[in-house]
Amino acid sequence: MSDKIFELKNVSFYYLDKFPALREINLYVEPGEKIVLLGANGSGKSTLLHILDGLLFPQEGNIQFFNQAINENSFNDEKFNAFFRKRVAFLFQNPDIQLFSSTVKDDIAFAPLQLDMSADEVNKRVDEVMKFMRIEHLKERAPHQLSLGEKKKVSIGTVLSFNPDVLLLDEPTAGLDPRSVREVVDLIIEANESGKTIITATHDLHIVSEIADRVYVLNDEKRIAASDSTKNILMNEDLLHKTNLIHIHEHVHEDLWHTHTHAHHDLHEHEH
Amino acid sequence: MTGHEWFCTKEYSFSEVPFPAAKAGKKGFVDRTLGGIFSFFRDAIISSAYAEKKGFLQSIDARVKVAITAAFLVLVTLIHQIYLLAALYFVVFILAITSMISAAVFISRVWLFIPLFTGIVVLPAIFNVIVPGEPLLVLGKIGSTVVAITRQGVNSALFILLRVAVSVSTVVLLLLTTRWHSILKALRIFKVPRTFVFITGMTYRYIHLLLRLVEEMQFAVKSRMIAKPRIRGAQKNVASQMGNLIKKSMDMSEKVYTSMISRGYTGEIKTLDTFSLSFTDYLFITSAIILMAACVYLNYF
Repeated sequence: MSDKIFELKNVSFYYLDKFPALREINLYVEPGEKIVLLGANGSGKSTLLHILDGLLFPQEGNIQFFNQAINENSFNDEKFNAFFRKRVAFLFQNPDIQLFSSTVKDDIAFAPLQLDMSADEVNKRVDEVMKFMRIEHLKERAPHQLSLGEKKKVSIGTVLSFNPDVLLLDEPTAGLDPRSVREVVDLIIEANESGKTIITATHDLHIVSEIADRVYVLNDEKRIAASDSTKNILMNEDLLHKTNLIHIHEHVHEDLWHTHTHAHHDLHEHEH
Repeated sequence: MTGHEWFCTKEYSFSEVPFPAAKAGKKGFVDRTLGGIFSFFRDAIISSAYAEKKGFLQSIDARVKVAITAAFLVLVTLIHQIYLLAALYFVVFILAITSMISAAVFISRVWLFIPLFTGIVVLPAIFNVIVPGEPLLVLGKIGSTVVAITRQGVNSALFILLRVAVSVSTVVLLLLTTRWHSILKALRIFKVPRTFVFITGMTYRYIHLLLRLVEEMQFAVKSRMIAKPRIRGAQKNVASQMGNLIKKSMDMSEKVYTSMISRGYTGEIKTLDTFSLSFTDYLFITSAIILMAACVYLNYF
């Protein structure tokens, strides 16, 4: 039996017990993998990440963490909670939710402190993370004074600071300019090469080929529509079309109108 | 028929723009109120610009500043000599200048309010009707009573005014030269619980966020407002925005809580309280103690 970090079996989740957010999800994650949860807005990617981070618990189905079933009660156990939180980090989509402290420094220090690192170690770690993320100049600034790009970078810093093994990233590149997107993608690749497991929720097809070995595609019905290697998924135009990830595109080249599917990703090419 | 032909029709022309007369209209009540709130908070942020300057007091540890400010306030209430109070005001003023706060800003922040509040309170005291004494200036007679400004009255009014001015100036100086979160953290030396300090910090941080949200919601309403709303309409708008804001902030607080849990929060906050004093801090503490001791000596002996 291989050691899977996560395995979800027939997981369904309903908000307020009636609005379905995920239906019969089956998924597994092995150590060192990079996985993308691909889906249009409202397909349940965020909810799925919340479930993987032990923040929401499904009404149906079960979740295994290293082949052991876990549930809400597991997290009431202090030892298990600390073990899990040290290893699994979640980058929230909205940096205003991720950054709740008075200064950038306090926010980056938050997790290491809660996880019982000594003050000296924390100070050293904070400096190193800020240097690494090139945000040293923001150290004493208040989060509300930062631009969106800066906030996103600091948010990433807050989850890197305790050096987790598993990173759950919710739309890490949304709203970023092209250069910042590149930096985040490089960071994901680097983290993965150093042995970390990365699970990214996104609808940005541009970045998928670089940050995923395997892809789970979620559809409007909040089910997994497909799971396959990144290449197979990105080549499957019919699937991407059905899941609202690409659209029919009409445009003109040298006075010639024509229509084709428009994917906006690296495999996109066409001839006239 | 696509059902939205109207979208593909141009309805308006820009041929005759009804430019208003040069004299602009008046701002409405909601605009003025919100504008006031926003500018107050902007001011609070701009003030943190002073805290980021590289002046003398900015280099002193916040804990030292908070403790000395507290001791200084006690001292000011103990002093009964006007010349000592004047000397202390001078010291505070010099500290403000060396902390790169312009004299105009520092003086106006304090002296615009003091005449308004304290001034009105102490004004009656200068007349012989309230505080009898040696007349300085006779104003006239009401019936058989002579009304005059007395030396004792002026003295005691001046004394109270100066005492308030020194105290307010000291606190303003602390607030201008110290970042908000540092002041909060400094409260830890008075054993204010960590959780309280942390939550107050979070409150301050999210006030900014919610204010921006309100401002943007207000802009969104404004940009779609075609006719000037009647009072009833405006009230309705504001009420529904308030409701929305409560819902949004509830939702946000829940999410922030999960983001804390995700990063290992278990109910007890741990924070970095590094307390290391530099040579300047020691120099400042020593000078402050000598100054305060000297004042007590001159006042009582």
